Parts: sequence; structure tokens; C-alpha cells
Amino acid sequence: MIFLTVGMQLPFDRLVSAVDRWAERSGRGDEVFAQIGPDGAPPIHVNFARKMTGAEFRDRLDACSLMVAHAGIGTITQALERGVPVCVMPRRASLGEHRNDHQVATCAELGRRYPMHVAETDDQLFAVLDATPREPAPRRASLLKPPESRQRLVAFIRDFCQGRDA
Amino acid sequence: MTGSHESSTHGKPNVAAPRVLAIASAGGHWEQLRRLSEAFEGCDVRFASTNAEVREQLPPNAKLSIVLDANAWTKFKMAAMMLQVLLLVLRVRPDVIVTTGAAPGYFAVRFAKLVRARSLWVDSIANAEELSRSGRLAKQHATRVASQWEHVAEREDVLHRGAVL
Repeated sequence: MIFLTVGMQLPFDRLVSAVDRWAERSGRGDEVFAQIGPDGAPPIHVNFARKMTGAEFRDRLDACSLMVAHAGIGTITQALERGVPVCVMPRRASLGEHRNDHQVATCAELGRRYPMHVAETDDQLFAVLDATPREPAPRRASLLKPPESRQRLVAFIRDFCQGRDA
Repeated sequence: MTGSHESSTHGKPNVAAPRVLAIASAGGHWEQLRRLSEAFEGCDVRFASTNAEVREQLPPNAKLSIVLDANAWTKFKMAAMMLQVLLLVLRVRPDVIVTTGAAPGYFAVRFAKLVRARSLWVDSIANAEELSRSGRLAKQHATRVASQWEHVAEREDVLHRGAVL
């Protein structure tokens, strides 16, 4: 199963239509489930929902062999935490897909630290989709890195809360 | 600064545990706050977010308040949410406010001084090039501001003390 998600707020028609065209071309539309946002343009060749609950989202993640998504931090971290292979396409402000290009920066910085595909173009996306196996992936270990950096931030916040940060 | 509470805790239950308001809008901001929530051990913490679903990812006895979900494009909702955050801060009377953004966290930081709370803004890791818009605004009001990116922290003259990822 390939799980396409664009977050619960803004539409991302460029990504949804690219996956839809791939589904038509490859004949693998039955393997795709898309979450397209409240105002997104519906795809033709794949099943979709506009929104989903957090529990549904996590169930979809656990069942898929690839998550295709916008480069939202919550989306990416939850997928990595569950060991799900990730392919993200950053939203572009110039195409009206977000307020600014912070998702491009997210891709650049996180792409260096984590195993994830970043697709800037439809062709890059199609290559990743073509290489995705049909079979559902087995249960996976977290891809998140050893937690030194997170532990450091936790310790800082703990000290702040306890008034020990002066 | 906070004055009214002992700040030393060493594991044992502490009647004077600092009261913490940990607030973030649902989605990526909340996801980061959740991944940092061990920091609130030993505190009397109340979480706040913009979608009741976040309850599912908290321990069953966690305290949680929900405010309206609003963004800059819905001015009326934004004003209503601001009032909710104001009432929340006045009711909880936290010693400390911790937020990962965005709009609800900004308002909480703004209202912190009404109850003499210290406030910490941890800018979302999504902002890898510059401080977020709300982070910029919060910078003038928060006790401490940290970016999760070293190069951003340097450029914006804020702290860098690690990152959730």
C-alpha cells in the first residue's frame, strides 16, 4: 500500500495529481490511498479521504510500504518514528502551496540527516513510486536517530521549568 | 522571579512542583511538544492544544485544555482563541509556559507576564532557515527563545539547545 497524505489544512493538488497520473499510467491505483485535505481537488484513479483522525493516520502508516507526503514536520516525524519509508515533496510558495518555502528548507536539512526521498519533480516522484514493492512492509524499527539532541533539549526545558537555567 | 514555589525536586513528590502550561497547536507543533514532554516530569503540567484528538497521545490522567484552531486568515476565530488562551493563563496561573508554537503559544507567551510566568519559546524544527513568523513576534516577549537549528540560532541571536530530531 502507498499512502499519500498532504496534511489536514492546505490542499496540495500538484502532488495529488502527480500520484493520480502515476496510478493511471502504472495501473497500480488500487494500491494507493490518498488523504487530500478539506479543499483539495479529488483524484480519479485512487481512493481518497479529505481528512482523517490521528488514529486512522497511524493505522495507514503502519499498513503502507511507502508514505508520499508534503514536507510537514508532524507528518515526517510520525512516519520516521514508525519506520515507514518516506518520499516528500516540498510545498512551494511561488505556486501558492504555502505561505513561504520553509518546507524546501525542511527537506534540505532533514534529508541530510534521515533516510528519505525528496522529490522536487514528478519524474523523481515516479521513480520512487515505481521502485515501491506491492507487498505491505513488515513491522519496522524506528528510523529516528539516537536521541542525544532530543535529550539535550529535554534537559534544557526541564531546567527551565525547574528554574535552574539561569 | 517566580518566588512562590520551591524549585528543587529530586524525584520525590513535591507539593511545590512548578505549575507548567505546555501549549502548541495541533499537528507538527504538537508533535514536537509531545516528543519533549518528559521535560515536564516533576511538574504540575497542563497541556493545551487546538484539537481534542491530541488526548489519544497523552497519558490518561494528563490535564488537557483545548482552544479554537485558528490561523492568520481567520481573524474572528483568532481573536476568540486569543481570549481562550487569556482565560486559560489566568485560570491555570502557571509558573512556567513552554510552547513549540504557533499562534496559541504566541498568545500564551504574551499573557505570561500577567501572571508573572516565565516563558520559553522553542521554535518549530520546520523553520530551518529563519525563525518562524510567530517566533519572531514571540522573541520580544518570551523569557527564552530557542531555535532547533544551530545556524538559525546564530543568525537570529537566540539559543540553540538541541532538537527533537
